[in-house]
Amino acid sequence: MTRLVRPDATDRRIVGAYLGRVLLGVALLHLPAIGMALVLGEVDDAAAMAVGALAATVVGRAATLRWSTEEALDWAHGLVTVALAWLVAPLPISLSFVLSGHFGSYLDAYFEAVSGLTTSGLTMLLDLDHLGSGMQLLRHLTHFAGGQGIILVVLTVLSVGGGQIGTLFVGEGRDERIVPSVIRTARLIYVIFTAWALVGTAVLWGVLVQSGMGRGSSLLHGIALFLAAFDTGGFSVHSTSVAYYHSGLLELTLVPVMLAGAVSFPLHWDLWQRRVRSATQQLDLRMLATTTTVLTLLVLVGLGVAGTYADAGALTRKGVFTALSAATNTGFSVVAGSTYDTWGQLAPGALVAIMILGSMAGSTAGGIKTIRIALIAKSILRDVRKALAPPSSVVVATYRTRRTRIVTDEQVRGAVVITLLYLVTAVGGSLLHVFHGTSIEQALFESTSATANVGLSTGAINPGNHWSVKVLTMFQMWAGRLEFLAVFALFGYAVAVVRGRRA
Amino acid sequence: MRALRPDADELRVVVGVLGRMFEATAGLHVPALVVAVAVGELRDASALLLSATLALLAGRAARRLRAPDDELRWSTGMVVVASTWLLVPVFVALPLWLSGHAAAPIDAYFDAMSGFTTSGLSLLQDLDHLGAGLQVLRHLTHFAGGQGIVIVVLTVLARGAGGASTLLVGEGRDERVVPNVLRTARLIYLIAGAWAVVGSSVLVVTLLGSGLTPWRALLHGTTLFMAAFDTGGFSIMSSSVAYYHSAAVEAVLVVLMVAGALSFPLHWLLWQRRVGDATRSLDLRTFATTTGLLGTLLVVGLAVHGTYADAGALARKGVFTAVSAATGTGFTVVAPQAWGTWGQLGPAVVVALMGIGAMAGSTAGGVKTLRVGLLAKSVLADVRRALAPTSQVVVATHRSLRRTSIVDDGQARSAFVVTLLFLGCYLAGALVGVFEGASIEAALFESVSASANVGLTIGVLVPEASTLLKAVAVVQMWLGRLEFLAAFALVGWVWQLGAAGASDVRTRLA
Repeated sequence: MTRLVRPDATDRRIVGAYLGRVLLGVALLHLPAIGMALVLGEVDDAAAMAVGALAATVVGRAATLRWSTEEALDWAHGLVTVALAWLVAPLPISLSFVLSGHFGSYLDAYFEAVSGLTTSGLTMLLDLDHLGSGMQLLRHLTHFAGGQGIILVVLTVLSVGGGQIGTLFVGEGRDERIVPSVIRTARLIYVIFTAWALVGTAVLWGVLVQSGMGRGSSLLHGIALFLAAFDTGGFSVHSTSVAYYHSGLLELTLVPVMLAGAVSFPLHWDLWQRRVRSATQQLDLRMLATTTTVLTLLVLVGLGVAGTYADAGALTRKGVFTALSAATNTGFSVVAGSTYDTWGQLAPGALVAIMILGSMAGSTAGGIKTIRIALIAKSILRDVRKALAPPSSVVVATYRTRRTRIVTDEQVRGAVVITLLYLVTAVGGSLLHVFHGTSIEQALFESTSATANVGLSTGAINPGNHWSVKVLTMFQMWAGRLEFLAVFALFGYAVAVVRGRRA
Repeated sequence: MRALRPDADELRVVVGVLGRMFEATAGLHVPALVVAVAVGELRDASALLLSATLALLAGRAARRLRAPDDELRWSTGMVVVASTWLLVPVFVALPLWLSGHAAAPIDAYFDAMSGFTTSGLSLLQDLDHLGAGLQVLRHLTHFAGGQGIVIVVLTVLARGAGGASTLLVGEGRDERVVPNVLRTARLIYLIAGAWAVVGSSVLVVTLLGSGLTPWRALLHGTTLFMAAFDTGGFSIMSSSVAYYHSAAVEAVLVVLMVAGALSFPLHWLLWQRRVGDATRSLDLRTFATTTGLLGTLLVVGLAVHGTYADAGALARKGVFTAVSAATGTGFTVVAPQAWGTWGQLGPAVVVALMGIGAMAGSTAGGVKTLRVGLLAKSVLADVRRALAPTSQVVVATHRSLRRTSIVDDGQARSAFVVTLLFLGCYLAGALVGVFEGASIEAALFESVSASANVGLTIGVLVPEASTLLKAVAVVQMWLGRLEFLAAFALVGWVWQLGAAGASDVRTRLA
């Protein structure tokens, strides 16, 4: 086997320059949060965030100056940059976090930032309910940056290579230069996001005011809830998550926002252009509707069997909200972590299945993604047809995205590999939890929640964990978010740096 | 799009071939009948005679319908294979049920299915007092089912979209099914026969050495050989291999189990003394790697948990169990209730070993190491491709038995889809177990053991288990043995048959 080409100075320059830009973006992210902290008089928090922002600016600026280059970014650089970006961007954010004094260690603060940027929503905060509003905004803005960021990346950079799912969305005649393609896609994403943000935040604000909250805090909560729901993140301003509000109306409002977040942006674009029919015919959407409905019913049956809730209304409300929160990979919770003990075995089992399946590719949701499941199912059906058909006949499977296409072996191979990697990461990771004394049910739940960037928790992931559990969980969130390929590319790059051949 | 409808001729071909299988099953009863008569178990003998007669009659009746052999097409072959593994166990279940050792008919069918799929799970009651004749019959099902599935994998399944098996066999293949099958069968029985003579003799001698009477040593030696070499896992005593309390017996069995987990094409290479070619194969290397790593992890897990105070006992129990799980045999030296003392990590590693399984083209079950090896190669190639300049072509290659070839997308796709189906089957079965009230660890253990045709048990699949759980395990053993595709083909075929029948009726009514 040929050895990899060792990256030269130019390669390092390109990657370094783009990481510098990422850091500058992170510094910008701090500005609204610092503004809010100053307005509300949270001077300590403002200072903490200023330190983080300043560090990001200085390092980012230094990197862009030091490594400024005219060389074009190619796909290999893109993958490596993406993998590193999700590791570098949390650094200044976690600096701000740790200076707030709400974290037990720097590792916990870094965990929080990774969880935010991967739109997972697991938290390591010690006293969430008393965190300042500015810091809260920063936390939720990481969902926005990471969420909108990953869509951009999936539709552009990750669409090369073995993952291949991205290419289902974008046209065939692709530009070999990466930057114009990224800018074009970014413009489209932000148009859709802004429209949803304005409407969604306004409605949530109204609902919160109506439920008796002050106007000012309603606005903060509304913005935070919108960001966490639409980017399927799952951070919340209170440690009891959505259960804090005790409002059926609010839960009802959050459901469409979470679902919107789990819908792919190309599909949003179709809806935006009123191509409703083309949208509803898509295989991905149909699969999402099917799996979510079936598994939600299974959760309800499980709750019914376990007899957790005496009242059918409470059962449905808790069951459906939790199932949809899991299906969209948001991770909002209306159940206290310890309550899962009373859910029996079937309902949490179904939740694990919902979480790992995930939602549509090209959304901020994590997990395997329904399109992969659908492609695999189609391919198995084709195998059966082929086995029964005369040897000379040609049997193909087709699927519908914007137009009808043939399922190729290469796509299915890519889909199955990614699916298996998700399963192995979720199941394998649970072994470490078990090793540290967690029961296997809980371990599987937490490990899946992290790998699929969900954020639901039975409480087994908490600041008291052994450092190895925290590191593993961060790795799962990071690798799951990047759908593995970019992570492997980074490893390959590291190997090439050490022992690659000269070009 | 619809596939072609099966017509009456095709149905005749399927029934005709099934008839031959029934006759062969009757043949399987003969040695058991001889043993039963010889030791004077007349009641068992009459039950065996009855079921042999029924098998023979059914076979004869079916063969009256038979079309000539050369009309058997490869696609029909899958249907035949799937229905064979479903129907043939009936004739073994009958004498087991009549013996009174099975609490319900489904228990007897479960045992017969477990035998033919070389799983080794058993629901028989009072196994220690089952007659010698029936014991021989049970173990012969391992031999028939084990050698049978190897033939099927190398011929019929290799033709379908199974993919992984096409890596084992040569390219230039005959279009006719029957000559192909016969050629492969001859080769397999040559190898299995040689191992049988040597393996059984060594076992008999070892057992004699450990103090069994000559007659019992002969019975135990031959049945242990069949259960080990066909990676089955039935045993004459309810305490399985722990009964013998003999490290020598365990050592011999480890060698036989590993031999059973090697693919027959690999055996053929070894037979021809092409050791260099054999050791370079991807499948063998993956098998050695996964078993080595997980086996070590198991021993470490046991040591950390402190289950066995004595290092010798720890290594002996750990290694034997690891080999038994990895090869899909299911012999046990640990009582089901003793698993509780293995901690959480130990059983989890055993589940992983069982789930991965051993080499493709052997009698072992599970995902198969060839598929795992291909998966790793394929991911590595993806990484290389992602990092390489756009114009560079990156391919994954793998070493099969005779040469190095390129992993094409079609092969990789089929291999991975089958892997995923196995995982789905493991999880779905576990979900049923949980639904029936087992803990998730125990449910997963039994589900993997059944689907991967292993036979280790942690105590969920017992005669008192619900009928649903038993039925699910039967389906899992069947699906896992056939690696899904043949089973799906049967379901699709029956569906089409039904549709064709319905449209016939409609035409007549109109």
